[in-house]
Amino acid sequence: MKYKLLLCSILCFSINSQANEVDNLYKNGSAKEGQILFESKNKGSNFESCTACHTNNPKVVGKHAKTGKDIEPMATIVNPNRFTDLAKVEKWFKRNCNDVLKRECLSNEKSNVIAYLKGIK
Amino acid sequence: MNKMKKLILISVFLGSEVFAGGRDLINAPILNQTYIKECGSCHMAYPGELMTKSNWNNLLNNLSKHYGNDASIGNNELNSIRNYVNSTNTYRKSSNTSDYRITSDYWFQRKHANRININKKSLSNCSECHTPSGNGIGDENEND
Repeated sequence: MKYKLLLCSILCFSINSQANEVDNLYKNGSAKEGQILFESKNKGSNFESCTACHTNNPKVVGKHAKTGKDIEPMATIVNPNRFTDLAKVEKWFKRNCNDVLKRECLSNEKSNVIAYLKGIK
Repeated sequence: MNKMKKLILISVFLGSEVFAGGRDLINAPILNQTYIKECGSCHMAYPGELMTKSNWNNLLNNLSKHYGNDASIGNNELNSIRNYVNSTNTYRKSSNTSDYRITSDYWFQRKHANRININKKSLSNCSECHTPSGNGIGDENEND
Protein backbone atom coordinates (compact mmCIF):
# COMPACT_ATOMS: atom_id res chain seq x y z
CA MET A 1 0.00 0.00 0.00
CA LYS A 2 2.83 2.33 0.93
CA TYR A 3 4.54 1.55 -2.32
CA LYS A 4 1.36 2.26 -4.26
CA LEU A 5 1.03 5.63 -2.57
CA LEU A 6 4.66 6.42 -3.25
CA LEU A 7 4.31 5.42 -6.91
CA CYS A 8 1.16 7.49 -7.23
CA SER A 9 2.79 10.56 -5.75
CA ILE A 10 5.80 10.19 -8.05
CA LEU A 11 3.52 9.82 -11.07
CA CYS A 12 1.31 12.73 -10.03
CA PHE A 13 4.36 14.86 -9.35
CA SER A 14 5.88 14.10 -12.75
CA ILE A 15 2.62 14.83 -14.58
CA ASN A 16 2.27 18.10 -12.70
CA SER A 17 5.84 19.14 -13.32
CA GLN A 18 5.43 18.43 -17.04
CA ALA A 19 2.28 20.52 -17.16
CA ASN A 20 4.10 23.29 -15.33
CA GLU A 21 6.91 23.14 -17.84
CA VAL A 22 4.52 24.02 -20.67
CA ASP A 23 2.58 26.47 -18.53
CA ASN A 24 5.73 28.21 -17.31
CA LEU A 25 7.03 28.70 -20.80
CA TYR A 26 3.76 29.71 -22.41
CA LYS A 27 1.81 31.79 -19.92
CA ASN A 28 -0.32 34.92 -20.05
CA GLY A 29 -1.54 34.17 -23.55
CA SER A 30 -4.59 35.82 -25.04
CA ALA A 31 -7.28 33.25 -25.79
CA LYS A 32 -8.93 35.70 -28.18
CA GLU A 33 -5.74 36.21 -30.20
CA GLY A 34 -5.16 32.46 -30.09
CA GLN A 35 -8.55 31.79 -31.62
CA ILE A 36 -7.90 34.34 -34.37
CA LEU A 37 -4.62 32.63 -35.28
CA PHE A 38 -6.16 29.16 -35.00
CA GLU A 39 -8.94 30.09 -37.43
CA SER A 40 -6.89 32.33 -39.74
CA LYS A 41 -6.80 31.42 -43.44
CA ASN A 42 -3.42 31.36 -45.13
CA LYS A 43 -3.67 31.01 -48.89
CA GLY A 44 -0.92 29.03 -50.59
CA SER A 45 0.11 27.06 -47.51
CA ASN A 46 0.22 23.28 -47.26
CA PHE A 47 -2.78 23.54 -45.00
CA GLU A 48 -4.82 26.73 -45.22
CA SER A 49 -5.63 26.82 -41.53
CA CYS A 50 -5.26 24.90 -38.25
CA THR A 51 -8.96 24.18 -38.67
CA ALA A 52 -8.29 22.25 -41.90
CA CYS A 53 -7.43 19.28 -39.69
CA HIS A 54 -8.60 20.28 -36.19
CA THR A 55 -11.96 21.71 -37.38
CA ASN A 56 -13.59 24.90 -36.08
CA ASN A 57 -14.59 23.07 -32.92
CA PRO A 58 -11.49 21.96 -30.95
CA LYS A 59 -13.72 19.82 -28.72
CA VAL A 60 -14.35 17.29 -31.48
CA VAL A 61 -12.12 14.68 -33.13
CA GLY A 62 -10.33 16.20 -36.13
CA LYS A 63 -9.20 14.56 -39.34
CA HIS A 64 -5.85 14.89 -41.11
CA ALA A 65 -6.67 16.88 -44.26
CA LYS A 66 -4.49 14.69 -46.50
CA THR A 67 -4.55 11.20 -45.02
CA GLY A 68 -7.93 11.29 -43.29
CA LYS A 69 -6.52 9.91 -40.04
CA ASP A 70 -8.37 10.88 -36.87
CA ILE A 71 -6.79 13.51 -34.61
CA GLU A 72 -7.76 13.59 -30.94
CA PRO A 73 -9.51 16.82 -29.80
CA MET A 74 -7.30 19.81 -28.99
CA ALA A 75 -9.41 21.36 -26.22
CA THR A 76 -8.11 20.31 -22.81
CA ILE A 77 -11.61 20.17 -21.37
CA VAL A 78 -12.26 17.01 -23.38
CA ASN A 79 -8.63 15.88 -23.80
CA PRO A 80 -6.62 16.75 -20.65
CA ASN A 81 -3.47 15.14 -22.07
CA ARG A 82 -2.97 18.08 -24.40
CA PHE A 83 -0.18 20.50 -23.46
CA THR A 84 1.32 18.29 -20.75
CA ASP A 85 4.46 17.23 -22.63
CA LEU A 86 6.76 20.07 -23.67
CA ALA A 87 8.68 18.07 -26.29
CA LYS A 88 5.43 17.05 -27.95
CA VAL A 89 4.09 20.62 -27.85
CA GLU A 90 7.26 21.98 -29.47
CA LYS A 91 7.35 19.24 -32.10
CA TRP A 92 3.81 19.89 -33.28
CA PHE A 93 3.98 23.68 -33.17
CA LYS A 94 7.13 23.56 -35.31
CA ARG A 95 5.60 21.24 -37.89
CA ASN A 96 2.15 22.74 -38.00
CA CYS A 97 3.18 26.40 -38.00
CA ASN A 98 5.50 25.63 -40.91
CA ASP A 99 2.67 23.91 -42.75
CA VAL A 100 0.02 26.55 -42.05
CA LEU A 101 1.99 29.80 -41.78
CA LYS A 102 5.12 28.82 -43.75
CA ARG A 103 7.19 29.83 -40.73
CA GLU A 104 7.67 28.80 -37.12
CA CYS A 105 5.37 30.37 -34.54
CA LEU A 106 6.58 33.02 -32.16
CA SER A 107 6.58 32.33 -28.45
CA ASN A 108 3.64 34.66 -27.78
CA GLU A 109 1.65 33.08 -30.63
CA LYS A 110 2.08 29.67 -29.01
CA SER A 111 0.99 31.12 -25.65
CA ASN A 112 -2.12 32.56 -27.30
CA VAL A 113 -3.12 29.33 -29.02
CA ILE A 114 -2.55 27.34 -25.81
CA ALA A 115 -4.62 29.88 -23.84
CA TYR A 116 -7.42 29.50 -26.39
CA LEU A 117 -7.42 25.70 -26.36
CA LYS A 118 -7.11 25.48 -22.58
CA GLY A 119 -9.81 28.09 -22.04
CA ILE A 120 -12.60 26.43 -24.02
CA LYS A 121 -15.42 25.40 -21.72
CA MET B 1 9.05 -24.55 -76.47
CA ASN B 2 11.19 -21.60 -75.46
CA LYS B 3 8.09 -19.47 -75.37
CA MET B 4 6.44 -21.99 -73.08
CA LYS B 5 9.43 -22.00 -70.72
CA LYS B 6 9.39 -18.22 -70.57
CA LEU B 7 5.69 -18.21 -69.78
CA ILE B 8 6.16 -20.73 -66.97
CA LEU B 9 9.07 -18.74 -65.55
CA ILE B 10 7.06 -15.51 -65.65
CA SER B 11 4.09 -17.17 -63.94
CA VAL B 12 6.31 -18.61 -61.20
CA PHE B 13 7.90 -15.19 -60.69
CA LEU B 14 4.59 -13.35 -60.53
CA GLY B 15 3.03 -16.05 -58.37
CA SER B 16 5.80 -15.95 -55.80
CA GLU B 17 5.78 -12.17 -55.69
CA VAL B 18 2.04 -12.01 -55.14
CA PHE B 19 2.33 -14.64 -52.41
CA ALA B 20 5.18 -12.85 -50.65
CA GLY B 21 3.35 -9.56 -50.86
CA GLY B 22 -0.03 -10.89 -49.80
CA ARG B 23 -0.52 -12.76 -46.53
CA ASP B 24 3.02 -12.10 -45.28
CA LEU B 25 2.65 -8.39 -45.72
CA ILE B 26 -0.86 -8.20 -44.32
CA ASN B 27 0.37 -9.88 -41.16
CA ALA B 28 3.75 -8.15 -40.92
CA PRO B 29 4.01 -6.84 -37.37
CA ILE B 30 5.60 -3.49 -36.60
CA LEU B 31 7.74 -3.98 -33.54
CA ASN B 32 9.09 -0.48 -33.07
CA GLN B 33 6.93 1.65 -30.76
CA THR B 34 8.70 4.88 -31.73
CA TYR B 35 7.89 4.19 -35.37
CA ILE B 36 4.24 3.48 -34.57
CA LYS B 37 3.97 6.61 -32.42
CA GLU B 38 5.84 9.06 -34.62
CA CYS B 39 4.83 7.90 -38.09
CA GLY B 40 1.45 6.52 -37.12
CA SER B 41 0.16 9.81 -35.75
CA CYS B 42 -0.58 11.26 -39.19
CA HIS B 43 -1.11 8.15 -41.26
CA MET B 44 -1.16 4.41 -40.86
CA ALA B 45 2.24 3.13 -39.73
CA TYR B 46 3.12 1.28 -42.92
CA PRO B 47 5.15 -1.89 -42.40
CA GLY B 48 8.83 -1.28 -43.20
CA GLU B 49 8.64 -4.13 -45.70
CA LEU B 50 6.71 -1.93 -48.14
CA MET B 51 9.64 0.10 -49.38
CA THR B 52 13.27 -0.43 -50.29
CA LYS B 53 15.86 0.43 -47.66
CA SER B 54 17.39 3.00 -49.96
CA ASN B 55 14.03 4.76 -50.33
CA TRP B 56 13.41 4.60 -46.58
CA ASN B 57 16.75 6.22 -45.85
CA ASN B 58 16.16 8.95 -48.40
CA LEU B 59 12.73 9.57 -46.92
CA LEU B 60 14.09 9.75 -43.37
CA ASN B 61 16.76 12.23 -44.45
CA ASN B 62 14.06 14.60 -45.72
CA LEU B 63 11.38 14.55 -43.04
CA SER B 64 11.14 18.34 -42.91
CA LYS B 65 9.83 18.13 -46.48
CA HIS B 66 7.70 15.02 -46.22
CA TYR B 67 5.51 15.04 -49.34
CA GLY B 68 5.09 18.76 -48.91
CA ASN B 69 4.62 18.71 -45.13
CA ASP B 70 6.97 19.27 -42.23
CA ALA B 71 7.23 15.94 -40.43
CA SER B 72 10.51 16.58 -38.63
CA ILE B 73 11.21 14.61 -35.44
CA GLY B 74 13.90 14.56 -32.75
CA ASN B 75 17.25 12.87 -33.37
CA ASN B 76 16.67 10.07 -30.85
CA GLU B 77 13.37 9.15 -32.47
CA LEU B 78 14.89 9.41 -35.93
CA ASN B 79 17.72 7.03 -35.02
CA SER B 80 15.30 4.52 -33.55
CA ILE B 81 13.15 4.60 -36.70
CA ARG B 82 16.21 4.36 -38.93
CA ASN B 83 17.27 1.22 -37.07
CA TYR B 84 13.77 -0.25 -37.44
CA VAL B 85 13.43 0.24 -41.21
CA ASN B 86 16.94 -1.02 -41.77
CA SER B 87 16.25 -4.13 -39.73
CA THR B 88 13.07 -5.16 -41.55
CA ASN B 89 13.13 -7.97 -44.02
CA THR B 90 12.34 -5.64 -46.87
CA TYR B 91 9.93 -7.21 -49.29
CA ARG B 92 10.73 -4.57 -51.89
CA LYS B 93 14.17 -5.17 -53.31
CA SER B 94 13.81 -2.65 -56.10
CA SER B 95 11.61 0.27 -56.91
CA ASN B 96 10.53 2.12 -60.03
CA THR B 97 9.90 5.34 -58.14
CA SER B 98 12.27 8.11 -57.27
CA ASP B 99 9.78 9.99 -55.07
CA TYR B 100 9.73 7.36 -52.29
CA ARG B 101 5.98 7.05 -52.56
CA ILE B 102 4.65 3.61 -51.70
CA THR B 103 1.55 4.41 -53.74
CA SER B 104 3.45 5.10 -56.98
CA ASP B 105 5.36 1.85 -56.95
CA TYR B 106 4.34 -0.54 -59.70
CA TRP B 107 3.41 -3.35 -57.31
CA PHE B 108 1.05 -1.04 -55.39
CA GLN B 109 -0.59 0.16 -58.60
CA ARG B 110 -1.03 -3.39 -59.80
CA LYS B 111 -2.35 -4.60 -56.46
CA HIS B 112 -4.90 -1.81 -56.28
CA ALA B 113 -5.72 -1.44 -59.97
CA ASN B 114 -9.28 -2.71 -59.63
CA ARG B 115 -9.89 -1.35 -56.17
CA ILE B 116 -9.09 2.29 -56.46
CA ASN B 117 -12.28 4.19 -55.94
CA ILE B 118 -12.08 7.70 -57.31
CA ASN B 119 -14.18 8.93 -54.40
CA LYS B 120 -11.44 8.02 -51.96
CA LYS B 121 -9.84 11.08 -50.48
CA SER B 122 -6.32 9.79 -50.63
CA LEU B 123 -4.52 6.56 -51.41
CA SER B 124 -2.47 7.10 -48.28
CA ASN B 125 -5.62 6.72 -46.21
CA CYS B 126 -5.17 2.93 -46.06
CA SER B 127 -7.44 2.54 -43.07
CA GLU B 128 -10.41 3.65 -45.15
CA CYS B 129 -10.38 0.15 -46.70
CA HIS B 130 -8.00 -1.84 -44.53
CA THR B 131 -8.46 -2.46 -40.84
CA PRO B 132 -4.97 -2.18 -39.36
CA SER B 133 -4.51 -3.75 -35.95
CA GLY B 134 -0.93 -2.73 -35.30
CA ASN B 135 0.05 -6.09 -36.71
CA GLY B 136 0.38 -5.32 -40.37
CA ILE B 137 -1.92 -3.77 -42.90
CA GLY B 138 -4.88 -6.02 -42.23
CA ASP B 139 -7.45 -7.39 -44.61
CA GLU B 140 -9.60 -5.20 -46.76
CA ASN B 141 -12.76 -4.09 -45.08
CA GLU B 142 -15.62 -6.29 -46.26
CA ASN B 143 -18.05 -3.40 -46.15
CA ASP B 144 -16.08 -1.27 -48.54
